Amino acid sequence: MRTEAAQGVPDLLPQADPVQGNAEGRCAQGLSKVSGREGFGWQCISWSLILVGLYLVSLRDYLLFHSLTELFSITVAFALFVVAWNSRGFLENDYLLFVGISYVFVAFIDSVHTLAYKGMAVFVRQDANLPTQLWIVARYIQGISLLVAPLFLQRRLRVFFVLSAYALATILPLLSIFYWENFPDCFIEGLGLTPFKRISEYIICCILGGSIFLLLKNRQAFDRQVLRLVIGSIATTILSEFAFTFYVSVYGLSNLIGHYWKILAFYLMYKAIIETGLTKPFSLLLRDLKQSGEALRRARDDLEIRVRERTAELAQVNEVLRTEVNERKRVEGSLLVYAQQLEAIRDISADITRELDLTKLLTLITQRAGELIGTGTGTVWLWDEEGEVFVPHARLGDRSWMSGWRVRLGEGVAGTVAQRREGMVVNDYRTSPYALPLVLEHSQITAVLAEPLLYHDRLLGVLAVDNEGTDRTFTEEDGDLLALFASHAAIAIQNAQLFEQVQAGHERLQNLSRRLVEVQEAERRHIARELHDEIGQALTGLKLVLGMGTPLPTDAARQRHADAQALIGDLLARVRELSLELRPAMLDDLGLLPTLAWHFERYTARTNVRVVFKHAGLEGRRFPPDVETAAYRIVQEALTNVARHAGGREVTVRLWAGEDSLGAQVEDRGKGFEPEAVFAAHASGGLSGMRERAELLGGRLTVESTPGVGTLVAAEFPLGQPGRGREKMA
Amino acid sequence: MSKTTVVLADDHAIVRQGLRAVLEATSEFTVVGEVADGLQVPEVVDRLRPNVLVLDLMMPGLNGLEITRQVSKRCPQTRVVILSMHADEPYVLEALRNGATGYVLKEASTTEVAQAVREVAAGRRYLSQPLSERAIEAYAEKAQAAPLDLYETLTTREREILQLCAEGYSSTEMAARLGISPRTADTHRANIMRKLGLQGQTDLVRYALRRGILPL
Repeated sequence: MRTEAAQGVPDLLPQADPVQGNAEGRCAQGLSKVSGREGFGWQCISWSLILVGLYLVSLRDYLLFHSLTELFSITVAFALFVVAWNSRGFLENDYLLFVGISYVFVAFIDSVHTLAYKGMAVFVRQDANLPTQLWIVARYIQGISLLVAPLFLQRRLRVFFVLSAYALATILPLLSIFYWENFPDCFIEGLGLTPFKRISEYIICCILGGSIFLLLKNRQAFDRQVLRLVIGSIATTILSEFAFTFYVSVYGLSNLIGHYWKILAFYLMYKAIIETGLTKPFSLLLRDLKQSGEALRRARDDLEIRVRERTAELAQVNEVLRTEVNERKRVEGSLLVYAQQLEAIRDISADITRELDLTKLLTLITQRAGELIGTGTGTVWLWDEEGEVFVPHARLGDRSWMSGWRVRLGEGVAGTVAQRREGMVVNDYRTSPYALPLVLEHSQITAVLAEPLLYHDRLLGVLAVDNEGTDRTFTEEDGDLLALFASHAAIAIQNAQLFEQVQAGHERLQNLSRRLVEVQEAERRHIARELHDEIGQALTGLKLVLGMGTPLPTDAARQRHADAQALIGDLLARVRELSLELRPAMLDDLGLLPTLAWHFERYTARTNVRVVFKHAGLEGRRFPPDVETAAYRIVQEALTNVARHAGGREVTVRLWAGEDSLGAQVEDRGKGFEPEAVFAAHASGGLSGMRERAELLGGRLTVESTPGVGTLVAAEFPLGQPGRGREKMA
Repeated sequence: MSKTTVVLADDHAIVRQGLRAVLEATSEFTVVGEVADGLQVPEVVDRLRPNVLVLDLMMPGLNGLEITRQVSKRCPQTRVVILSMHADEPYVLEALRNGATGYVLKEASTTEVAQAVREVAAGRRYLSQPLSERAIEAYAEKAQAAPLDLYETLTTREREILQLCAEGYSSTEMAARLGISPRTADTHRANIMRKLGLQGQTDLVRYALRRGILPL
């Protein structure tokens, strides 16, 4: 990362963020320019003054000059170390830190060198060899340090290790020089510099050259200005070394020039580190910042691009998904609607097929059709086969204007649907050719949906729903739905019509039966009255006339007269008997109880079957004439059967009246029979007749008979309202 | 001796005239009133207070038997002679039970009416020739029906159900026991209640206790 960022900086700088990057650049440039431009003249003057001053000092006292120059470079080296050490946290690489550390040790040896200089009289040895030896050690350390320093461009510096290494590299040569005294000679008085010293200087120059080469190789790791200064410093050091290769005296000219170069070299290093580290901290910081910012920006751009790409990708996938989901939803929706419609039709179908009352059914059909299609108005037209017209039967919504209205086949939407025998959707009713003037006049109908009601190809009518008052139109789906519903409705209508016919037939039959009984009874009563009252009266009158008022006839005539009277008597008896047989007037005159009692008398006299008569609650009570008649007839019939079939000598008749019912039982201990067989075969007109009579009055009749045990005929009649009684008994 | 006062009630004017003629032919009777409408008879009798009312059994408006009942109640001193075409015992019996003292058949000779009026006015009963007091009594005796115990009207199955009901069995239990459907059991129970005129389970249990169906 570090390498990448460092490499990227020079290339990216010109393209840097136009505002921030340029501002920073300008800022840094401005700072250096300000210091350069304003200080350049002063610098030249001050440098010239210093150099001239130093030269003058050297002329007067070279030792002082040496001490000053060395002190200057030592000071610079220490300062350099201090700055590098303290700013190590901000430095982007450890090159300068390493250089700083090395320079402080170099400065230490240089200070020893200064103190050992010839004439300083600090050490015992007072030759020129000692300072030269120290010098060469310092230069070796300096050269090797500069050569090694680029290593720390890319690797972390371990401070303790480096310090220990430098301490060792400083102490060992010093021990060699001062203690062991085996360090090679560098200067021999009178002979000048030894070959060791000269070769060492060349080696050192080579080392420094190598360090410049390495620096250039790694130039991208440095600010251009710093690089220039560092290289300048090293180059100057090389020049200084060259100067020291050929001096004869340590006080000689070449020595002086060498020291001047040395000052410059240290100054340049000072410039590189101290000045860029202290006077241009912004530049360093900003460069760092810029580099980090650049990296960040690039990362951000990268991220944005990736995010954009990913977003686009996601959006695409999302779109596909959404399409799929929508499609699925649509299919599910239509399936659901279909299922709901089917269920609705099934429910409705169950509802309407339960209804057997045609009027209620048709109302129900219009309601349900309206609910199904979602409209509030509609009509069921029933086909009147005789009149060959459609009659509006059930209407949904306010359709009173339709009453009494008839539509012919092929007329209007309903007539057309019936003629074609297929459904129709008319959504432009007000302009449609199918529109009927009466409808347009009375309603605001805008759309009509109609389906024929067909049962096995038989036209029953037309089911129509329409739209009035909203802008609703009908669709093909509505048509299909209504057609499905219409097929169920047609079955229900057919059922109801058949049921109505059956019921009407049944009612008619029952009415006829009742009427028959009534007519029969009335006829009998009439004839009985006629016989008894009229003919009987006439005969009575005749008898009276014969009996009185005329002169006594002759014997023969008297005899004939008596015969006539006897005949009339017989005739009267016969008429009376006949009258009773037909219909006992007594039943009307005296009621059920005396009539039955009297009947039992005559019955026993005629059949020799004893009647045990028991009753409760009838004393002094009269019942509706038809009930009395029916009860009398049933008992009479049962007794006749007993006499005819049972073969018993005794029969028990029970009669009881409660608050709301009248009961009668006739029980014998005769032969008995299989009542089911008898009823099923309709063999007994008598039993069927009895049952019929009881049921006509809302009562019922049961016959229990066991062969060999006997028979019990039981009848019960409701008292009060026949209708209410009928329900009660049922 | 004062004449016996008579009111004639018959819807036929000719009959009334005939009767009046017959009755007034003797000096014993005097016809004080004639009525043609059955409904008016009680009122007229109440007003005239005759000794005898000669009444046609078949009056329009109000049945002769009913008139007899009302008159004998309102004016007990007025004797009623029924004039009827019916010789059947029930009629006679009904007439007598309703308070009539004489019963004369229309076919009988007119002189019989005078005889009847004379008899009843004297406080005796009179029945036309073919009818006899003994025959009527015999009939009344024979026709006398025994009072019905409603329990008798129950069928064998109903009696079983009645007992189980009284013992507190539910319809389902009874049905299981008798091998019938619970619905049938319910129907039987309803029939029992109706026949016996019972109103509920309490009534039913009380009835069962009274009849000894349930031990006390």
